[in-house]
Amino acid sequence: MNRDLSTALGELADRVERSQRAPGQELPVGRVAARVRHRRRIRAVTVSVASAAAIAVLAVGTAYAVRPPARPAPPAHTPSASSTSATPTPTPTPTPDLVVLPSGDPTLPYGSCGSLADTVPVPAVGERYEAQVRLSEATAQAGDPLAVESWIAVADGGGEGLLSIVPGSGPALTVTRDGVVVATADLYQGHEAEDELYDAWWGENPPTTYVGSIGLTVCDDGHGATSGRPLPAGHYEVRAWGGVTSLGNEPGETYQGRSLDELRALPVAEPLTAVGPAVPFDIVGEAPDATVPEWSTVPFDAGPASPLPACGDPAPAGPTSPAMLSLDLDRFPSTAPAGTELDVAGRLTYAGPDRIRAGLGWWVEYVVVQHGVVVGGVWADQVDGWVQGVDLGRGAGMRLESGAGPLVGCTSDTLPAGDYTVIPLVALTGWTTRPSGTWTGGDLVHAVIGAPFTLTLT
Amino acid sequence: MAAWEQVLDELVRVRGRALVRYAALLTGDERAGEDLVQDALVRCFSGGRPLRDTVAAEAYVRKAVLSTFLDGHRRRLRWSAVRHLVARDDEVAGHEATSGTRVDVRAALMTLRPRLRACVVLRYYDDLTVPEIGRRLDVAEGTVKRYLADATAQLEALLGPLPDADTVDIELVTNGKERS
Repeated sequence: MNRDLSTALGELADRVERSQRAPGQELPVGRVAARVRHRRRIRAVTVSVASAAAIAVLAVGTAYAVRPPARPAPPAHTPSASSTSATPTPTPTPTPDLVVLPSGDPTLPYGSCGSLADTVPVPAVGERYEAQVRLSEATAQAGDPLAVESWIAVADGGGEGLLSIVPGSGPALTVTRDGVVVATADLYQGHEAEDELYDAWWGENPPTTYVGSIGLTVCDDGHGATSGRPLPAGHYEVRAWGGVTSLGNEPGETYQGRSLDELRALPVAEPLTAVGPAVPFDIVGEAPDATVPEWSTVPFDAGPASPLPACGDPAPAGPTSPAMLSLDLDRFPSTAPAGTELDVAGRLTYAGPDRIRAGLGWWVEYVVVQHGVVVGGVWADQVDGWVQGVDLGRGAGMRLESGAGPLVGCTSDTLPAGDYTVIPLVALTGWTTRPSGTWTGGDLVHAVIGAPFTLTLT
Repeated sequence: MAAWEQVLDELVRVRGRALVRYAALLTGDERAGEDLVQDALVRCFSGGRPLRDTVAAEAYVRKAVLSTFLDGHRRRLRWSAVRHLVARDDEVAGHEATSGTRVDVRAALMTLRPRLRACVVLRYYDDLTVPEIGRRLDVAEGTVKRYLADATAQLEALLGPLPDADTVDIELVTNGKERS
């Protein structure tokens, strides 16, 4: 073929225009305008809230913008001679070897130590909200922390922008035994985190997932429970919950430029409680002491930037740990048919200080390398909702699996049979340490690169 | 209707096709090009920069199309585009004689790394000079020349000789007007 490249490109462009002229092929300006309105609104609200937080920081002269917690605090203890016990747990004088659990008090507010699991929350349950918790293991060793993932979701996807104020430290967690709250925890371990706006947008804006571990120790009910002792072996349930404020689906322009407190004071604001299903688990064994997750203050190291690799790039060096995040696979294939999706899974962990809030790709992605050059791979579709907000504590592992699509070659639909090196990665779009916000970065898309493995395509 | 909505509406109505033509050359796929333009429009009109006339808005959106593409967005769609081209061979078989060669060009473009492909589109479609391409991509002129040389060599390996590709090393003069 001998022809002019400019002409060929022009012909290509002409063909695009002809296809656009077909009925229904015009750019959907209405949809674009709706997306713009949505983002302008959120941007305005976010900027105003950030400004308010900055003012608060200046006012109190501290690195933290502290506000009263949104959740109902446990009430002051009122001595009671005979608390009603849902569980007839004996409460003798504690001895060093005896673990005494809270006995259960129906007068205590929902979620507090010693309250009953079926206590009606105040404010009322928000039917559109779901506080969820997920466990990676259904069994925990006595004395060991329990790894959890939790989030507050909108049950119906939120429609066109259900705006809500949600806890910035994620859902609170309660552990119950026989219907009584015997342990309480939050993944920020009492460090105050500013509440946040959450805009559920047709399900395209997934809620932040909080990942971490909670100590399985007896809480203090003020009635003689052996606070701080490891929970004994037995059958338990864990629940997530949190105070939220619904601002409705049509916040409109009136919501711009207002602080969270001003938003809470609007007539449309409705305080609610997000609750969710109980997740059962068992504690086994015995332990004299419990291990409680420690709040880390190790120095932060952003690490070198690792751009997402593309076709024809040299094989990316790895593993890498941008923002002290690392990817470790525990499941990957050694052989696979060409053109199929590789079955890989692993954990993303954080080794830095405080907690980290990051935008992450949904899946473990990967590129395939041969002779030192990227010749294929799979990447997630990078559109709205492509990343999810994840809030990780030190040592916490976020479970990620493959799912972005089949493995394809750079120049053909399938790679030929042969031996390749697969380099797993997770896309990372930005991070900030929380609650201090001391370290932020990663505006561009980076890759957290895991250890490579060899693959034979058949 | 707010001022920005009027500008957006007019820009899409009058220049929407041209923007998609441009974006589709980068993505290699009409649908992906439309998505890229939509994302660029959302990005531009959601920001704080006031866009009060369509001419300035189009220039801004074109830059956003390029930067969005180069930022690594739509990687998956790039892969999809390759598969799509393979699947489309039968579809174009009955078109006019040149349709097959158009698919060849598009498939060949898809083999280029994003920055190389962007260089080719800016040089041979937008008719920009090497210095201007360097400014658009924020790279040195020498880098642009190297990109163009690598890209045309790769394209020629697939498409055969490309006569106008020899103009790379010549100081190009543009009329300052981008192609529609």
